[in-house]
Amino acid sequence: MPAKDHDLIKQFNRGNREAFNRLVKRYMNDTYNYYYSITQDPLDADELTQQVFVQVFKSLKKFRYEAAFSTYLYRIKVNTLNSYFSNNRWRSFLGLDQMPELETTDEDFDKKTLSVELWKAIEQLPKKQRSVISLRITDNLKFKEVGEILKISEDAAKNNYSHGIKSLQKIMGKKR
Amino acid sequence: MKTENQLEQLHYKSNASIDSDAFLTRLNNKIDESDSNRGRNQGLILSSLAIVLMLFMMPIQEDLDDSMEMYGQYLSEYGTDTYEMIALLSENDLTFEQ
Repeated sequence: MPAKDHDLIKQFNRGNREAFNRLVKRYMNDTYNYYYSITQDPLDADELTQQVFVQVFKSLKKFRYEAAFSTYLYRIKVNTLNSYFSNNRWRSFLGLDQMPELETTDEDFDKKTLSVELWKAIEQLPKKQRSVISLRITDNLKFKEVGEILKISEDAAKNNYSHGIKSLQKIMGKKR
Repeated sequence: MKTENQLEQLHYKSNASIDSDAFLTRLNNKIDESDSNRGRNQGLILSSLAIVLMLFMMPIQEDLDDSMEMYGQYLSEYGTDTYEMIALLSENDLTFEQ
């Protein structure tokens, strides 16, 4: 039977680095796909995944075992995504932004292009709306779970989602 | 205008898997690197603080040197030294008040 996340964290906090590696192995593919789905760029997705686990490594000593590790990890994932979007805004301001290079031979090329456009629009939303929408869209989480991750009420999560979707409809509508 | 569902469906969910050993090697290198950078940064911060503190203390030290010099002049003018001064003060039951 595989060790529970909390047990691995306890072992890591007692100095067992291998326990940390096991925790990473358990969540790295999900984390990578979370970012890959958003950026459609394998290099960015890899870099963001690395940043998340470096942050996990640094902050696990403060882990309080009250919530599930997955909730804690989601918080770090969303914060890292928000930083990535902020950096993108600077890159865009300085004219250094680039669309990810999608393979034109890819049978899902059109779908991927539309997905990139969607996330470029989500990037423009206020932070809270963006965070709620990213958790809903990428992992189809319930509003209660979204609220727990973002430390807001279920109603606040619903409101932010609804406002965010309306803004997205406007942004995407202008482009069409 | 797209509906909520249509918008959600625009998201293209990937299902890739990464080479766990290569990923972990890079990750652990990055962590060790960031640890040593943190140590270096802390060293830099401490040396900067020491320099700032030294620059701040220098005028105080100069003031102290001035006072010691005046005290020395006072003793030589009255033809006495520190021990004699202490004896004189205690004989006359004089104390310093804080």
